[in-house]
Amino acid sequence: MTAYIIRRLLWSIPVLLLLTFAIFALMRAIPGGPFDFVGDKSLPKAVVQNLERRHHLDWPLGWQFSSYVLGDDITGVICNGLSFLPGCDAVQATYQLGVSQGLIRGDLGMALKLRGRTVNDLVKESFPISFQLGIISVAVAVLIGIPAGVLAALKQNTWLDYGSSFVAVLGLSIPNLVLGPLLIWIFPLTLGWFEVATWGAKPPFTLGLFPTTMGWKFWTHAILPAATLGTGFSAAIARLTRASLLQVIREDYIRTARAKGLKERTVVVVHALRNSLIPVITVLGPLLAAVVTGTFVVEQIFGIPGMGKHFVTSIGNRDYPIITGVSLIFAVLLVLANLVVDVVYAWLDPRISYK
Amino acid sequence: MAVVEQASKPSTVPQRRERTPLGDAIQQLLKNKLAVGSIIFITGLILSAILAGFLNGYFLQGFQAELDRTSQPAYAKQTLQDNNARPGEKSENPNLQGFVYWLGADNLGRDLWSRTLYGTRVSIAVALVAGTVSLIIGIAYGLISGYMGGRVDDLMMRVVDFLYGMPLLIVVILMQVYFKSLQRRGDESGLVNFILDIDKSMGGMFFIFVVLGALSWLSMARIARGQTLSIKQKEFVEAARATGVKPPRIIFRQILPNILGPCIVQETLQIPGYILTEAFLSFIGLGVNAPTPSWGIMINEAFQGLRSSPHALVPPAVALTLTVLAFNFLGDGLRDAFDPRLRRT
Amino acid sequence: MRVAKSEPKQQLAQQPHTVRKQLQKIPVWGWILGVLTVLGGLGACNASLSPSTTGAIATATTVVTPKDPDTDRITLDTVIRDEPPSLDPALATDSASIFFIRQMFVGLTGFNQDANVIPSLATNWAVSDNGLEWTFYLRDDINWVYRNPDTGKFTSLGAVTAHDVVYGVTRTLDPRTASDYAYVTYVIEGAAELNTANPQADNFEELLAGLGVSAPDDKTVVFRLKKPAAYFPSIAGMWVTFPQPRAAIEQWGDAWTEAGLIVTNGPYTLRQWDHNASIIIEKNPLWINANDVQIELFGGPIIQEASTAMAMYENNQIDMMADPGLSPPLLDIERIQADAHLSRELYIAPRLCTYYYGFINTKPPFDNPLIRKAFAAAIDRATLIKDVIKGGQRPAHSFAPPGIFGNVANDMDIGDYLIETNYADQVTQARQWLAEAGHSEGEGLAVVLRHNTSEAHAQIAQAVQTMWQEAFPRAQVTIEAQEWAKYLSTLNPDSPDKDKPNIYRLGWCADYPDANNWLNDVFNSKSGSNYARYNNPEFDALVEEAAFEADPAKRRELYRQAEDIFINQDAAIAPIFYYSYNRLYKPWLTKVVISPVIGDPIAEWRIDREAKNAARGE
Repeated sequence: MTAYIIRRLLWSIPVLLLLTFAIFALMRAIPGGPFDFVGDKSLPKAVVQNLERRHHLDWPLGWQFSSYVLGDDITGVICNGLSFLPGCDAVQATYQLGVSQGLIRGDLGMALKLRGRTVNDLVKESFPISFQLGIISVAVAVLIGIPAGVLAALKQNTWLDYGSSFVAVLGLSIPNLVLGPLLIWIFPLTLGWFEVATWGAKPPFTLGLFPTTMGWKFWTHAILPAATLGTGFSAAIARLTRASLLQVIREDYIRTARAKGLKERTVVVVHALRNSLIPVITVLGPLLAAVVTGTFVVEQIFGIPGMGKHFVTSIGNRDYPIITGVSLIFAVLLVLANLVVDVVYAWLDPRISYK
Repeated sequence: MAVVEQASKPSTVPQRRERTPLGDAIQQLLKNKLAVGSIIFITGLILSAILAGFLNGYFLQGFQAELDRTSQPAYAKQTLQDNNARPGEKSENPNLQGFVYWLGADNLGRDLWSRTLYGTRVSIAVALVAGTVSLIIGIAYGLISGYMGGRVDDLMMRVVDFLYGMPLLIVVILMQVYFKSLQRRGDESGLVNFILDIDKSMGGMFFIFVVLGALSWLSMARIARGQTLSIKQKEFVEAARATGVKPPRIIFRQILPNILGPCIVQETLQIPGYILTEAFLSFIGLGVNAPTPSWGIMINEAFQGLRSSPHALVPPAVALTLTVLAFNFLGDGLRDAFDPRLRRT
Repeated sequence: MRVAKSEPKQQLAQQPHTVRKQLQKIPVWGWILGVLTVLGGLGACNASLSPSTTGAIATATTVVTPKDPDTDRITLDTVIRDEPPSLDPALATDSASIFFIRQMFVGLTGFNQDANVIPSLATNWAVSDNGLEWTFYLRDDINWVYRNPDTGKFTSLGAVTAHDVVYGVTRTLDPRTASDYAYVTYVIEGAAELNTANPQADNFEELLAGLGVSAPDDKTVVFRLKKPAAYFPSIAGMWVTFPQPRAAIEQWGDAWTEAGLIVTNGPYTLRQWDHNASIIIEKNPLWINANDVQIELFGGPIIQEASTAMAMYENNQIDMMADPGLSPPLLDIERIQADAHLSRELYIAPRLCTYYYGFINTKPPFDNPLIRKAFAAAIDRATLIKDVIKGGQRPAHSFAPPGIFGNVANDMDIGDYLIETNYADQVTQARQWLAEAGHSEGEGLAVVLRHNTSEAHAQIAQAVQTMWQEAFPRAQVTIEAQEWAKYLSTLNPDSPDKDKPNIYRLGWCADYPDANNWLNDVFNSKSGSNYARYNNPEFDALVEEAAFEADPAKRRELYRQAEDIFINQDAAIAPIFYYSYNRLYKPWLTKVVISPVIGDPIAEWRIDREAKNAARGE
């Protein structure tokens, strides 16, 4: 198993590099550069050249990518050694600027439009916010979804079951884009509850991830976005829990447990529920992937300064390193999420084996 | 390499009855009231998309002449003094005496009924274009992978596994920025011109719809492959192969018709995703060109003015939710009908 | 170059070396992996993650923040609307950054409430007879100061000298600094050559030395210009020409503007800058007029949502809704105007910007001035402002807005056809012009109006489209939206006309408050910003003469003539409105000095502390 995990991780490296290169190249292929304008004005060509030179944007694409991945110093060494390669004169001229230490050293580069800020800094400030939003949403989803599913299964074919199933389908179908504005309209604007926008926690974060305080103020910001993002997931979990519990209840060992004269509550909670949750746990992986994209949407609606928001702003600014960096982090998260899913599957279901 | 068994377990031998499986499935589908309702709703959507020119408020209320006079389409006709008109309010524009805003007007005095109606066009377009592209690529990929088997299959499925790990929304956004930054040069001809005209009729979104489809074939490919694998081993395929029928014929005549059902079910379930992606792109300003309406843009506009005119949120929000709901119900219904093993108790 | 690697050439007075910078260098991968480990663990041990567990983790390692000893200091609270991209005078481009720079640094000249140039670091200046040599005489009592972040003590690092100004200008123009705004100083001899040079070139040192700025002694700066520029004192008040603290910059590199490292010379200095969280500046007790500066601390959290800021304002948490914070949200304006208290706190202040629709003057059919005039006239600016833009702006009928030296915003003879009392008259006139041009009712006109993608611009464009369709029913007006970067690159005068629209939208904001920055810098036929491709030698001659003319009255007259040709005769653009923005100030701000040039002088403001505390219940 360990060997399998390592192999998967190693395999994902070239794929991630490929993705990074694709985004790297695609961004630069889009007309308009990061320094063509400032505010509502365009900059003279000479000024643009100065700025581009400073960020190696005057290098050929391949060398830029090399600097991004390997760092300026290694790229410089390569070029000094193999100076016949095309474009090396440009590299030799400015590699000493030390713009990038390279992905291999965990450096995502310098932001182009925010002077002196690194993408690492930006990620450090915004990733925890996206993370908190995601994790609270998953918590909401689980805390609502599982009890709702259990209730529906235990009261099968009653109005409670039909009602919760209907709500679940509705919850699955109502888009974030509709639910978010709707919640904002109902709560902050009409009732005056909670905050319209932004996030209640700011850097520095505890352990680099968690808010330092989680008082009421934090929750007035977090509740609506988390509800928006969590509703769809909780509906999915509720449906799954119901189906799975219904199946488990018909199993022989449950019948045995009942026959032994155990109390119904014990049967359900101790025996049935535990086993029926296995498939639910396995969806947490894909759920994580959905949360990653979901935060993207919800951050836009609620103006939350997470990574998705940085990403969308940076597109307009053509801030290449931020776009590439954020994409890369999303990709890494997805790769890891998928790996977790497969590993959990294998762990829970002995029929699956990894060669 | 992980050999994860597909959800399609070795299928049990279907029970032969007098009726055909297709007829059976249709009968099953028609028994499902929600699915039937969804079919009716979706048909209605398609009709409104086609007939928006005749169903908009201005045409129905006899003001087509006013539209013609200022050469403005119904969705872009604005009367500033009518901004934020509530549902049922009459226009104050002297040229629109007696015109009623059935669903109200937005903050620029545009008829919300007409805009919502025209907004179906973009949603239907994305469903059709992205759906078709994804269906074709996914089936072709899965068929080849499943039919060839062995190392080819291994390799092709590994590619799918890896693509699963890609942040596709990000790729879609970046591609859309790219497409948005292209523009017509005016000297195109022939096919290029034809495609660009299609693109224009979709508010400049045709290419991104294709990309959306081209990035959403992964589950389709997995399902097509799984189905192909199981059907490949059936007696009638074995028999055909033994009698020397050429592979293309086997693929098209015997395998494809048998895997199409589950694939279409899967595609139906993916359609809400396309519609929502389009809405999201529009919401962040990367969607159709103004003033072409799309529900995403309308939600965004209503969202900006939520304090002063919340009623503007209702039409696009309801339309979007019902459409997603309808496709979900239809997908569920189709799955129940075509795949009895998955039928819920 | 994020951490200065160069050897410190001159040690600053007892510089405490904080390890903060190094802490920020934890590789991203490290903690992302950490996160996922945590996540994986949580997933495996069932979904037991509840808010209380995260809370427990959070409280376990909560860092105790020291109690603020400054609660009794006179504080002006605001929000800050965005993380300033840079507080380096050589690099700043946006108004939030510039606002803070103007509190912390002073340049040779400054601007008063009417945007007129006033003495600052320089007490007086003179120009040679040929207009090419400007000499500024400096005062010697303004010091560089450093605030020790641990003790809160201010140290003087010596007087600001002419050499600091020379260093500042040279650094701004050095291509290695890569300053976006360097180009506004290109009028200095050798500036353009230096800024566009390759730093690796052999003659680079010569170019550095050849720059037309020098310091014959500590108190005199001499600028040699390429061509006469009567507006040069305005340039000398721009942040890019400010003196810069050489020692700190050479020691810390890009990081020198961080709190605890920065060295400043203005009435305030940077006390705290938590990136993306908050900024606070503190009064400089060593400032020449320190006794006249009442407000000791200024700043607050970085908040981007106007509605949140508005709630804070109404809650008495902040004292103002204005630069560097946010304006009150447009959607609240009606409520503010109706409210007995809030309406008295509302001020509408002009901004030195104009929003306009430009015509591509070389592209048919808009090469015909009659057609340009017709389309410019058929815009109902008052309705547009009332129903679409809703910001209380002033309809524009000229290019340079009020507040700019040489503006004609109060001369109603210029652009009168754009702002008739009765809009119907404008339409009648416009239809007549169009008929004269052979396009009765707009017959045969297919017009493309393009704007950059943005909700606000789209709404204005659609409203204007409707107005044109109403006025010229047979014309075909199409709107196109283009993403900003692409939008500007197609508008560039060098791009082929066939890629351009007929009409484009842009705004222009002042770099320095002089009409030269408007008429000459933008629409001179040789300007790189001349997107309209306007070319009228008569106009060029007027604005070039105005740049040379030393007599202010004559300059004003020249700019009036230029605007007359530009708007009345040629209608090169259709000005739409002069920007303004709403501000709210609490009644306990007893003196507020607003400068149309970015950076209201907080040092001159007064606050009634008792009233503020009473309102806050303290």
